[in-house]
Amino acid sequence: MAAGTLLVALVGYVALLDRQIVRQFEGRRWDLPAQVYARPLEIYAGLRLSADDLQRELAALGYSSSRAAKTQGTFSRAPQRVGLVTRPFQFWDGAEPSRQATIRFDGGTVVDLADSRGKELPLLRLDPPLIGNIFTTHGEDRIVLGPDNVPTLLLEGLKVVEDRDFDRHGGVSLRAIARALWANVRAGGIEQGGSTLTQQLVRSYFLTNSRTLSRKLREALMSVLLELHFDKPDILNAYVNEIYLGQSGDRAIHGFGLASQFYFGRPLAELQSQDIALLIAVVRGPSYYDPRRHPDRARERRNMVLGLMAEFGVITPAEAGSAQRRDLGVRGTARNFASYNPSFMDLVRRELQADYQEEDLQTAGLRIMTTLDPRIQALAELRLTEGLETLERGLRKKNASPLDGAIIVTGTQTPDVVAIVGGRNARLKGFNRALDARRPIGSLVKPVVYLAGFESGRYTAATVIEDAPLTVKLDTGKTWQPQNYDRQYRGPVPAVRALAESLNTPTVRLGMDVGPKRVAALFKGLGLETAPRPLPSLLLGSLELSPVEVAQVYNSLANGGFRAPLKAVRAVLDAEGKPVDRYPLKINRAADPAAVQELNASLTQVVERGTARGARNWLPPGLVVAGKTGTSDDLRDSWFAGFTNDHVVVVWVGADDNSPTGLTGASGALPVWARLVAGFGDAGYESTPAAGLQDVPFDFTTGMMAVAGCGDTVTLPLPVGTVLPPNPMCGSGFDNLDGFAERGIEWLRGLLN
Amino acid sequence: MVTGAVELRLRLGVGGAVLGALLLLSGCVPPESGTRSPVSRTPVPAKATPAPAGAVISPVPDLPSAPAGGVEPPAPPARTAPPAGAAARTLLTQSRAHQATGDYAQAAASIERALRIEPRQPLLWLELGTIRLKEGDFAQAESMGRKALSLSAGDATLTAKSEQLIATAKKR
Repeated sequence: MAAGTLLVALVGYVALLDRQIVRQFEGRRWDLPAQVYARPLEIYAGLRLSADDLQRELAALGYSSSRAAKTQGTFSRAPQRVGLVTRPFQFWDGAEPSRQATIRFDGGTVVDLADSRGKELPLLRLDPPLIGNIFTTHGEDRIVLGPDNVPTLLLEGLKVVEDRDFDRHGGVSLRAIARALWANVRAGGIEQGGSTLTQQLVRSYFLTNSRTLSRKLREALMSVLLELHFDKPDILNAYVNEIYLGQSGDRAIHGFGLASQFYFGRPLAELQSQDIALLIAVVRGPSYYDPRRHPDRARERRNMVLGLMAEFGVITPAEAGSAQRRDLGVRGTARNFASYNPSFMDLVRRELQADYQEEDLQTAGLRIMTTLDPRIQALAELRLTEGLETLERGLRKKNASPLDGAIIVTGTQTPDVVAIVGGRNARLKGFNRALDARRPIGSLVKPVVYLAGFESGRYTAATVIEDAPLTVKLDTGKTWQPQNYDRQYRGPVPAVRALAESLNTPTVRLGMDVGPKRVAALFKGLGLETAPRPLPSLLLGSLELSPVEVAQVYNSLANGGFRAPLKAVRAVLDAEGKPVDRYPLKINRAADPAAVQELNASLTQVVERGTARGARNWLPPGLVVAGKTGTSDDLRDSWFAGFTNDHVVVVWVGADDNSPTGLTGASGALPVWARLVAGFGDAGYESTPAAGLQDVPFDFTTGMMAVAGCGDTVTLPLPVGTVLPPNPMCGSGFDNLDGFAERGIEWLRGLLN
Repeated sequence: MVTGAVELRLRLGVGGAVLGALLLLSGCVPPESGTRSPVSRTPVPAKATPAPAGAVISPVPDLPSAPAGGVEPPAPPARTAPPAGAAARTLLTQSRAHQATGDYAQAAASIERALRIEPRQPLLWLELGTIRLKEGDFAQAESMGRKALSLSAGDATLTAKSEQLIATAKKR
């Protein structure tokens, strides 16, 4: 009776375990964190890219250098030539096959591309760098591999080292246990586990490392049951994807696919025998044999693995011998992993939150294609850190609050966000100043004020405005008397000079004339969520914006008056590479394109003749840039926002506690901006010809007609038909009096119009 | 499992009504434009004109003097937009293939790739506008037309095509 009850209980227990393990194995949906990719590098003739730039990109992608690049993921390098075999990749707009190509350079420019037969290639797209994963905070991360994607060498090596009877046993191996016991007795401690690969898999499923006898029994029973239900290749493939192989912060590295990326920065398929042997070595103790922290230990075990592989005929003894002499070849740091670009990832997450559940991002294996340019991102991080250190050294007040800052870089005709730095310690997650620090933008407002003026048709860049004290009556009944920063007044000045020298009183005059309402509405059109309050103080920058909001406004200016919502995510693919979602380019006309061209040309004068002249110390000679300095009250915030032909860059420098920094836009943010832009290799700002505009020379100081050899002539695109006042300072002698009078009348007529 | 968890969006094409307008426009944008001459921009007027000391120089010497009352401003100087490069042309061809099978999302993706290479190429903006028109996104078609127009100053052909795209989009 008792025996019968016992038997029923045992059968019940086994059935329970059976259900558990089968459900676990079949229903096991590995949590696949979303993989986030930077932009793929597109190579074509004329691209500004040096052979060194390309080599850096390839190194970051884990391509290995070889004498003649013949296999996928390898490259060869000559001074002005790079040969390579690309990896295939599934993009949103189709599969990019692996291609062999040779790229020729002339210094900083791509001359041409040819395929393996020497035929010209119009375009070559590399696989995109992986920049991060979105995983649960205590989560497992892995790259799942199908049976076809696992090298035989790995499978054979695993069996030889971990489970020599794998192909024969039924889940547990008595021979292995006996062998392990004997080894342990000899060594006087636990040295060798007798667990089969199946047992290791079961143990991994239930995440226990307990060595109690009942656990061991349960594990053994489940292993036998698993073997009854499933065949060997399935079990082995599950093992390859399941097993724990390392730790990166709070992120657990599971499976050989991810481990290969984690340790070598390359796909598993591209690993050599010594690399595969190292991964097999790590299985036994990812912490104890961590090749980064304990390279000697890891190397010793790797060589032992290679020896076993040779002994059992998986590789030849010669191959083992040469592999044993190789370096570990592990990437120096885990830098490319986890939150490599936390500031940029912030924006990616925020954009995705609108369409995806957090759980999908952490588990569904989505591939997120972003706009990040790793070269620009790395440079921006470096320049901010360096720049802030330099600024702090130069500041007299030693006990002042530490400086911090933010940088955001976008394209000019596209809304692509290519880099974000959220603070001076870019590698730390934390307060993202680029997205979340809202600070008064000071004179960064002025370009929008002048644009409103140009759009109204009543002002051009040459229109003369009075720079003199003025009093503005406010709705509250009070009065406001704006002053210039230097308390000096220059009399009549053309609009472009008022903008370039950031003069307050002409700006307020113009702004009050077109109306703060119009300026506020234009701000909204250029990309702010909500229009700022249309108060007179808006005209001088009593507007708090985050760097990303400033970047949106200046992106619309650089884009010729077209607003395109900034974006970091281009497309989302599923785990199999099928398109799920794409975020298409959308634009809206926000301002008169001709007025914007006139404004942008005026903004080049900020750097040529105005408050940002100092930028010339760092910019390459002749590089034309457009931009504006901004400083808030009491020197609390230092801004520079501007653009080349290729990039819009916004830099903010200030203190987190909002204390005064002693820095103006020109002395704080500008040097950081200029040093950064100098490293881009961009083409200078070039104005697009616009209908209704005509290049006109005039005197920068007075706004009068240009006279050769007299005054400071600047040439800007002005509305066709713009009439300039004659220049009495340069005219002399009676022979020209008639002409002078004529011109004078013409000018008066123009004013009356 | 994966796709089930993720919101899938279908962007539906638009019926034949639009197609008439399209046929009109599709003739506008040549698949290859390799025969265009390079840019010819107007020379900057009078920047360094030698003048006797004290002379008064007209700001715009090569143009009729400014109108006193509402006379038509002179037309912008003639120029031809630069041709698209080989990379952009390849992508344009790809886009055309997608358009032929009605896969407008992919077609637009190819043009966006091309635009990252040549962002100031009005032909590409026109093409993207044409695709938006085919999809039935008339507001974006119009915006793309305006962007193309803003980059076509002085090029009579491209200006006309841009204006045609804008007009077609606005009619819808």
